Amino acid sequence: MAAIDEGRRPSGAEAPPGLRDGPLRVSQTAGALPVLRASGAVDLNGHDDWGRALRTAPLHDGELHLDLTDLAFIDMRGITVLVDVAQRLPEGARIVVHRPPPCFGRMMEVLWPGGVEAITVKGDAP
Amino acid sequence: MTAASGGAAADPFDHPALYYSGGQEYLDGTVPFIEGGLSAGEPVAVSVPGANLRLLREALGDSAERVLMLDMTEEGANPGRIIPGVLRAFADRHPDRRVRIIGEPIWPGRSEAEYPACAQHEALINLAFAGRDAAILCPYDVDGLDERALADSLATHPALVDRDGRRPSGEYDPERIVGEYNRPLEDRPRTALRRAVDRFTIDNARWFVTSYGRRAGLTATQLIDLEIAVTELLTNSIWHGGSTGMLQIWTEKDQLVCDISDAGHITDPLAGRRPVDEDRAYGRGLLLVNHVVDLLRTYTGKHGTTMRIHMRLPANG
Repeated sequence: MAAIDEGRRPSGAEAPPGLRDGPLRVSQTAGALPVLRASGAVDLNGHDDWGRALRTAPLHDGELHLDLTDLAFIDMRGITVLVDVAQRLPEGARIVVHRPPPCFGRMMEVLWPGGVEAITVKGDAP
Repeated sequence: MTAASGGAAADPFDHPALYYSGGQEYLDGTVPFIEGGLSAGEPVAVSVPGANLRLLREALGDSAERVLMLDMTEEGANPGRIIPGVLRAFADRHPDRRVRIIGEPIWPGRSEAEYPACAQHEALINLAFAGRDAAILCPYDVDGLDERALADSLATHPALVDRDGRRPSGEYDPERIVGEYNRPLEDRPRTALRRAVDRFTIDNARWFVTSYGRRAGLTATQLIDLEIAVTELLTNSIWHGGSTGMLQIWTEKDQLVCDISDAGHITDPLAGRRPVDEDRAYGRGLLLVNHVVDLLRTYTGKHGTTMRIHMRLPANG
């Protein structure tokens, strides 16, 4: 494998507009099935907001539905917060994670290889 | 040859090196250790390079089904992954039982880049398993390994086994090995791209490294792993290493290499090698990195810390 071709190096210091993950945005939808939607990235700039949103989101029939379709990235602490919130839910309640980014599955597989009882991952939108 | 049947009196943890020359000595040293464990009802795992795994499978016959058999060149390619991902992962599944493990993390094909992390790993097993009811037997190929590897094994194992029997090591000193191999890493090539990253630019750094990795030919799965590893290392730099990490990335031969330097000092030698439930956030990030990269190398001290990750480029990438 040759070194990266000089002319094809990422030249600028910044990602082109639209390619950055962007800041974390979390919103709670209303309707028959309340859903917590997150977009952008959960990293060290968004841990507090992420944790607060998860801890205060209402359960619907014992479930908290998270739509991560537009989430570009979540880091280890972001997943740890999610697992922590899930494990503190009342008996039988769970968090249903819809369409998480690929890094989510990879980190769960490494850090919680046996899965987390109170977290269910679904590939479809809520 | 008598393998690790008896441990030290005070500490139930037993960690002998087994010196072998050829397949027959390998089997003479390992099979009684495995069968002794099985007949005592102890869970047994074997993690050794593929050729030795095949040798053992054949020799064990039906008994092999009662042994967890892993290829160390896959499970333990990154030495930093072996304690959390192989040894403790197995031992912790049997918390109330004595376990036996054969672990062969150093084989003749190990590279110069990998070796220091291998030696440190062997030394750190003693710390990670102190007081645990376990036996870990580490085979060393005396024909294929160089003098350095054999000399270091005397310092990383409290007991030695060979065709003449078992004896204590007079040179046991694992802390010395951890310190000796905490060395400056090789210079980066002039082609390395370099940029400082802080909390305001961490998302841009993710884009930067994945763009670089994509151009270098990493697979989609490797790009995810690279993004995870770089984010966790930078996060540690920002929280614990003076708020900025200096990221540098390049390719060499068949590898993509990326390192992150900061002003922090890692004083916990087991950071990143404990199971997820036992480590704090710093170590948990390193644990994740250890799992997803092909090699993690560290140089740390009061002067600061450099963490260097290697990822193998696909053959036709």
